[in-house]
Amino acid sequence: MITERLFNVLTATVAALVVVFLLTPIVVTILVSFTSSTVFTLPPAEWSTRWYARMTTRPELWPSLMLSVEIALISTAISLVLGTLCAIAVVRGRFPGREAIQTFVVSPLMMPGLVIGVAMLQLFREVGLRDAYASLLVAHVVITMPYVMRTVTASLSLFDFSLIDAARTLGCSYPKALLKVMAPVLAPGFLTGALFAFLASMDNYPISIFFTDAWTKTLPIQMLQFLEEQPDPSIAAMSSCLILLTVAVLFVGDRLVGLRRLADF
Amino acid sequence: MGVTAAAAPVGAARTRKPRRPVDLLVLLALPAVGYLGFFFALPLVALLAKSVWTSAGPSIESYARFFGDPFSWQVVGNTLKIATLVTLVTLVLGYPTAFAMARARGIFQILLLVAMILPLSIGVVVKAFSWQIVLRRDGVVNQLLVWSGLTDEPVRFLFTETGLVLGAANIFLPFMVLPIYSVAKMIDPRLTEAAATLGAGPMYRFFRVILPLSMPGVVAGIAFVFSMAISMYVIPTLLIGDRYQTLATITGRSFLFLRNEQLGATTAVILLVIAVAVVLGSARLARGLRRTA
Amino acid sequence: MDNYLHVIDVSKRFGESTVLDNLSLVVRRGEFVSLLGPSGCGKTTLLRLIAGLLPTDGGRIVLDGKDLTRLPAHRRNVGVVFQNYALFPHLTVAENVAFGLRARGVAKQEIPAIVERCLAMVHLADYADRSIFALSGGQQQRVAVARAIAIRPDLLLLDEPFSALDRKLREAMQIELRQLLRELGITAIFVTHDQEEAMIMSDRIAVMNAGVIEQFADPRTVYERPATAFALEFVGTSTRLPGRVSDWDGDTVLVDTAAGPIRARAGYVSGAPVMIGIRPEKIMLADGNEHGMNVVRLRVLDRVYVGSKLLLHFDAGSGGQALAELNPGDAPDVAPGDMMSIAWRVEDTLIYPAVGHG
Repeated sequence: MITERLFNVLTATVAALVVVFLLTPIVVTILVSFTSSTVFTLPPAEWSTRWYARMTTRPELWPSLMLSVEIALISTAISLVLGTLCAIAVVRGRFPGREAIQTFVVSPLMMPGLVIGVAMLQLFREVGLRDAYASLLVAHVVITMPYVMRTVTASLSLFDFSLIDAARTLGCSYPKALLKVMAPVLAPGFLTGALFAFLASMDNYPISIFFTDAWTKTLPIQMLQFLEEQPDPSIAAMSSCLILLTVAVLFVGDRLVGLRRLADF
Repeated sequence: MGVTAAAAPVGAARTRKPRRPVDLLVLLALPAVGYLGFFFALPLVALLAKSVWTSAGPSIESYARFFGDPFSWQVVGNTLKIATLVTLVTLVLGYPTAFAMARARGIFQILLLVAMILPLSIGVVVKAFSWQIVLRRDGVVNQLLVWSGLTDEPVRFLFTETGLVLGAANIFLPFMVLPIYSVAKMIDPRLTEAAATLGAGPMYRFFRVILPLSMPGVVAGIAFVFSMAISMYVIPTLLIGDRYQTLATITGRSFLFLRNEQLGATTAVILLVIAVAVVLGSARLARGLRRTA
Repeated sequence: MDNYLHVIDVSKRFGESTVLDNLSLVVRRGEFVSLLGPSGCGKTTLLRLIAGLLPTDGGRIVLDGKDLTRLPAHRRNVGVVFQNYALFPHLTVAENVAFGLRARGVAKQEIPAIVERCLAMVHLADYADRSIFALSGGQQQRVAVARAIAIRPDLLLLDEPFSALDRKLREAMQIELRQLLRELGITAIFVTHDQEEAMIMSDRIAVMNAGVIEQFADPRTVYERPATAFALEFVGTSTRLPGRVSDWDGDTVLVDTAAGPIRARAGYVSGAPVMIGIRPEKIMLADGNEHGMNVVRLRVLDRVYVGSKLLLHFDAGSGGQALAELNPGDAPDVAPGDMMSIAWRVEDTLIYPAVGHG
């Protein structure tokens, strides 16, 4: 039993180190954002919120933030509709090739983003799609669909369809049973899928980079440009705000579905 | 046989499963499949086709040119080396962590879950930028090293392979931990107890019970991390700079800055082939594991 | 008691296979009827047809003079307790019970009182605001019952409601549910594959096999006079011996079996292959005065003492076994290997045409 204990102590130690390792960049970023100097020293010699003020005066920031949120919302909504329909077909249907469809719809997740971007760029040129906004939107539906498909398929295949029968015998018509029983029970699955799809779209760099122009830049691209042109702690301030936003979203997600479900991979 | 027919034959158990000739539910899958077919699969196939099809007919000239250059071999080498190292580091750190997470209860489990999911949800640009700060000459790591007396003066991490592997491993670690965790939490603790009562020592239990049962998660984690590590673009840009080339950075730069699309398309196809090989390989492995399990 | 539910010539096909073929069943008002049969016999399909969860492929279903055949499930007022209870995971105990009342548009201010009354009936008054995940299996089953009776159903259908409970709890719940339904005067149909459960719960049992009702009678008749060889085999234990009719005289036939000649009351022609059946408690030890009874001499294989009774297993030849159920004091020193004479009345000898591969 000594070895068993040793094994437990060892894994616990590694896990503790991993937690520190994973949280370090986040903590560091937040600390640096409150420095008063122009360099990224730690700990800051003096605390200040000047970089948050500086952040708000960068004129390029707001349009790119708006664009990213807009693209993420619309593409997630489209993916929710297409992905849910497809998940219903795969889980409830009785036709050959269901597993192949499932794999295909999830596969953009496993393909290198840059390669998808390059390939799409060539196709869009071929068909004459030059509008940056439209191109971004089309591309981001491809990015978000796998997340929706994966979580909705998982929760749909766990759904107990006798609940619908029960609702019907208790006086609900079929459409009403879907609305009253299926929708609320599946809501956590939809929410998790939509959450990760939204974050993936907000975060995407390797595909978006091929479809931006001088006026249409998503947030990650704008931030990378800031970093290359004039790196100062205002980037840390922006990152901190994004981290805060993510924490808020995760908190809501935890309230609604629970962290353990978010971790289901 | 068949003297009476008072009772229906018992053997004629009739199947209850509904069987429809044409399942119209397949129609619901069409929009998604059609969309991805046109905007995802078709472009990839076109990319592949164009790379072996010039105006003069089929040709592998661009590949011959690419692989004829010793520099290209170095690029492919860099790509595979970095991806392998990142995968190894995440596996070594991630495997015990996943098991600790499956066993942890209460506040510890929540802490571990937060530590996995929070970085997963934060943008890669933000995280790579954080590592730039952490790894600087005057960054946290160097301050710790000097303070603890391990080194006399700051070590250079930024713009080195070590820094790149460290940063990338940090960013991809949740993708290794979570698949293993989801398998680890399903392993019945009584199995190891059963193995112990059958006379299996701790080593034997680990290698003959725990490891085989967790293999599906390990395979999934490796496939995730490796295919992300070969195609990372933002992380090397920020952590190692322009002079260090991988297949992904060449692909990006030749389209975005160098306007050498022939080269970019070639490296993109090579990346694609590696990624598809990883996906198919891991799927095959997973199927094999399922069968023997 | 008047006839209440009429299932008339109902058929159901799934693709190529016919699950129910022109099945008819009449249930009286206030009666508790079991559909008993092995899995795949069509009993759950029949239940779903009555509930309106599946459309019929012919035939009619009439409840209290009202034709339900074309009525959708939510307009039938037929309550169902599902096998896995099908409790709504997103609702509390009370909300589950209130679900059917809300769906029916019962006035808002009346609902809490009805919910409270129904939960009290199943002894869960204190659990109203709990999540259903916080309940044990037995409690979940009670919630499912409360939810189904809250809508004051004209008919209650129960699909193996006890199958997920352990034995002790199951027996307690069976008695409790039977009393509750009797108090409320609810007519109920109950699907089960457990013959003991069917015996305990029901006024009448419909023994189903392969989409056909083989016998529909009260529990005692089903046990003592099984209508078919299937009913004999499925309900209770029995000794079953294949044989061939060698002679007949008036209302009695003589059957040759591996255990010896056996007489039974029936009319078969000589040479007909038949199946002889005897319930174990009908068999007694022979003492030489068995005039006009069936007597056979067999070797004891095993002796099993189960408290209130003693079971003796005999070698009945050709690999068959005979089973006798005796009082523990009747055969004090019988040991495996002994030869013994056993006897039973000719009237208690059941006889059926041989089935299938007989």
